[in-house]
Amino acid sequence: MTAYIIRRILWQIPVLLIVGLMTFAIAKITPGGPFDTDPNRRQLSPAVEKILKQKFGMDLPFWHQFTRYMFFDFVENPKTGETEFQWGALGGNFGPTYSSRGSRTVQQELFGDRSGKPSRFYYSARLGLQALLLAVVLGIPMGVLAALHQNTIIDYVLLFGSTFFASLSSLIVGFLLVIIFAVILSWFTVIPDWSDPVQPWILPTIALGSIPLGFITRLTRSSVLEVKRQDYIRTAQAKGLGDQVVIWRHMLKNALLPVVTILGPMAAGLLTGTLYIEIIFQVPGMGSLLVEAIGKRDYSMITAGALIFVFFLGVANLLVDIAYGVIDPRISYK
Amino acid sequence: MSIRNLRNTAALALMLVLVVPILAACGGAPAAPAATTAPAAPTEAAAAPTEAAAAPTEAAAAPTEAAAAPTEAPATNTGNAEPGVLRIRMPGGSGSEPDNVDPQQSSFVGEISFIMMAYQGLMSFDKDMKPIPGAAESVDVSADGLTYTFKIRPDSKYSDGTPLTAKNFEYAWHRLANPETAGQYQSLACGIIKGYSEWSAAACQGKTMTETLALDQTQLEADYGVKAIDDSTLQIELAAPAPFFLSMAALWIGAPVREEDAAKGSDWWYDPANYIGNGPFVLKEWDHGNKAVWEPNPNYVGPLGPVKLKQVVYNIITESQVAFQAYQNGELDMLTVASEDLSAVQTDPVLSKEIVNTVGSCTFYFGFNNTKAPFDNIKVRQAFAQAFDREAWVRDIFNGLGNPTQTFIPPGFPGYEKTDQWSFDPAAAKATLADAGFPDGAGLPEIKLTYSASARNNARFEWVANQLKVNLGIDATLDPVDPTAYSALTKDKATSPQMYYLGWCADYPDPQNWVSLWATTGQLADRIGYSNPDLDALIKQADVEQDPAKRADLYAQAQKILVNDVPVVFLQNDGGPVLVKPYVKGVTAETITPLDYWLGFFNMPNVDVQP
Repeated sequence: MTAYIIRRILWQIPVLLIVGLMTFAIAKITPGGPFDTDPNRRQLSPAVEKILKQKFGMDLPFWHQFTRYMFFDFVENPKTGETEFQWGALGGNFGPTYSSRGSRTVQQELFGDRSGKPSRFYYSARLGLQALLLAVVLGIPMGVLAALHQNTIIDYVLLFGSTFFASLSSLIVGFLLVIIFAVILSWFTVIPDWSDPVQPWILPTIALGSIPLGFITRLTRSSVLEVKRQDYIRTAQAKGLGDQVVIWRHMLKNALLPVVTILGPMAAGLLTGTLYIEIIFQVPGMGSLLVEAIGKRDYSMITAGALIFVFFLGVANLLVDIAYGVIDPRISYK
Repeated sequence: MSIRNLRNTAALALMLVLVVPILAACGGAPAAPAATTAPAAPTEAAAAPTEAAAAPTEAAAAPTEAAAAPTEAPATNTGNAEPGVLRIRMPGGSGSEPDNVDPQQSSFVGEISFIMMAYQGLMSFDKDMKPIPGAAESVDVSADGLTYTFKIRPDSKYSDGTPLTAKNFEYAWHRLANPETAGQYQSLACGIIKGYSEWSAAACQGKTMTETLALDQTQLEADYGVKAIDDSTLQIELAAPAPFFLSMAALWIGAPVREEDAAKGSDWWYDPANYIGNGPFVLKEWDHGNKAVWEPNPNYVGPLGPVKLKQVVYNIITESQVAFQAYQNGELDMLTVASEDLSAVQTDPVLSKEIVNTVGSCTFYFGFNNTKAPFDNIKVRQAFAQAFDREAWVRDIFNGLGNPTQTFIPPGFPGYEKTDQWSFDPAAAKATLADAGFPDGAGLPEIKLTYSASARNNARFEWVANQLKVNLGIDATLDPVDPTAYSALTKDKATSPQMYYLGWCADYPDPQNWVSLWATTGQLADRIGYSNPDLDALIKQADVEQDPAKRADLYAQAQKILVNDVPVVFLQNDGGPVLVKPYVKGVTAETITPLDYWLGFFNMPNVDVQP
């Protein structure tokens, strides 16, 4: 098991390298650059643009820019003329952001504190965790309930509700919640007060959690339905086990495998920030920052976004695989 | 990405389907026909009775208003407004957080309006956009126009109480020129201040950073023309007379950043504790990604005070629909109207009364690559200028956001010259085109209309192509390009598209900031390969002319040539309606100027909030 986990972690490295290379290359190949932002304003003079390109190493050949970003490099300080060693992304340094004119680094923006306030990562991760928790805690019991009462009114209501939410977009749910609860009912404000530890989190958590909630409910329902008809369940019932034991011990354990499978990618997506929800509810998280970076051609931020997402995806999938083994002893890793 | 777009579109459509019935249901409207046109009104009215009951005195105090509207007096939603607290969306268009607010590094509108809350330059602007003393008490210009002597206001202090002297300004202006700063506006003062180009060799002469820093920095700094004579006197020597220098001295680039703050690292400005200035406000709190909170600077001296407001809150709201909801819900006191919302605003009984019309500081145009056929032919360009219905363009395509124009400098700015030389006249346009040798467009090469791709722009440029078809008989092809790539294309005449859409916004209110861009080596002319020796001669003369009347006349002559040559077709200025809650005082079309980066900014002492 330990060997398996170590092997999986080591496999992450080539995956990160390939994703990093692809993202970096695509970002660089896309026409336009970080200094082309607003055509309506005074443009950078060619000389200033040249200085900035040198400052960010954009005058180097592509392979050199990539290795500097990804691994490390020896960078010459124009003032002293000395070369200094500098880590790249694998050493935790994602480099300066272009939009801040190099005065802040990507890791400061994403993980650093915001003048004494929690980091952007904290907001995205907390919101994602809350939404995931909401989806799991409500979704699984609702799915089981619907499956056990198949073709009754309970099933129909739950099925309709979950299908409805699963097919919505977070953009719509977000706007609907704002209009209903902030504008019409005035229970919340449109502009959140993030100094309050609870209130501003409620609507975005619901908005973000409602779609995975719909998915998990539907998935649990269908997989419980499938398991329900299996022979071993009939055997369990035939040997006189109580309903509760059959459901919790025999049925659910097997029915949960597909649900656990989708939790991995779902968690990675929710934790690294979701654009619409962060924008609508003005969450100071990572999602909006990463998406804005694309328009600004903030190469270091764009690539960092992809790397971080892939990293979380890898970790989440690993946890899912470990969870398989716990849920189903037949699955073992060597 | 395309899947996301698709999802976006689908989402919006679905949202309409879902939201409209809900709103209608909330109105509970048996009066069906009215409910469809103004779905927001019934809910508003439903909320109103409680409010009216809570404020009987106000209703009693304004009997005339009630009498004037006997049917129903829709009230604005004051929400949680507080006296003296102004809550607005983060200035700068997109409502997002400024990326860098270091005065000597910044360049965008959102960044500038942030900086100018906390800092004040040597000069400031009055209502007519004339430079007036700001942090300086007075300024003396030598007879040859080369030496500017600024007297700093006595007892000037920073917001934390430390003294502000001429030395602080000396530091800031040195920081601007220092090649290590490498600010985006560093090239603005090239060739203007004595010794600037020499010191800023990288930005002004195109040297590499290593070459530049290898020069004798101490000597170059000593030769640089900005010196503090004593604590209250700052002397700036210019390389050549520049009558617009006083306007330049009012800009953010000369904001007196303190050495001890800037020394705290490249992101010193990120922490409000370091963001100490001499402007009308103090940055109390900056919750990055969420909001910035300002309070009046008790030590402020200058023309922008005394400030009546107790607090100004900049909210970071990137989605304009959310901002619009917040405004209607009484959580914002002012809001720029997005063109999509304009018709809803104009038909709404409450919102339509809260409109304040503004004039902008930008001019938009169709650029032509003057080096490529057929736009190397002046007659063809003139025909295009006559063939365009600017009134309809602004009215139908921009929903009336902005004003049509036929010249470059926007109205209200010094040097504005009204002209109607290229008024819409399809018959004349056809004749001019025939005159150019292309009757009814026959023989013209393919005309490609390049623009920054977006759903909004696709519709706009289809309309333009149709104009060309109807008025000139030309079949233009549409060529949408990714926004950032588009901006890169337009920078150089080698890559500049045949015909494209672009704008220019004021840096400072002086014709030099506009007309001189069209000299052969000027920023805009150079991009499209336009050159006229007569214009060059006039500009060269005007830029250094000391006599204001003579100077104005030279710029006026230059503008005549510019308009007649049609290097580009001037279309419209920005501006248009802004929503202002009735309890916000001092923000009216009469008091604000196009330079108010955010409404009421230069007019700040007049602004107050009394809900």
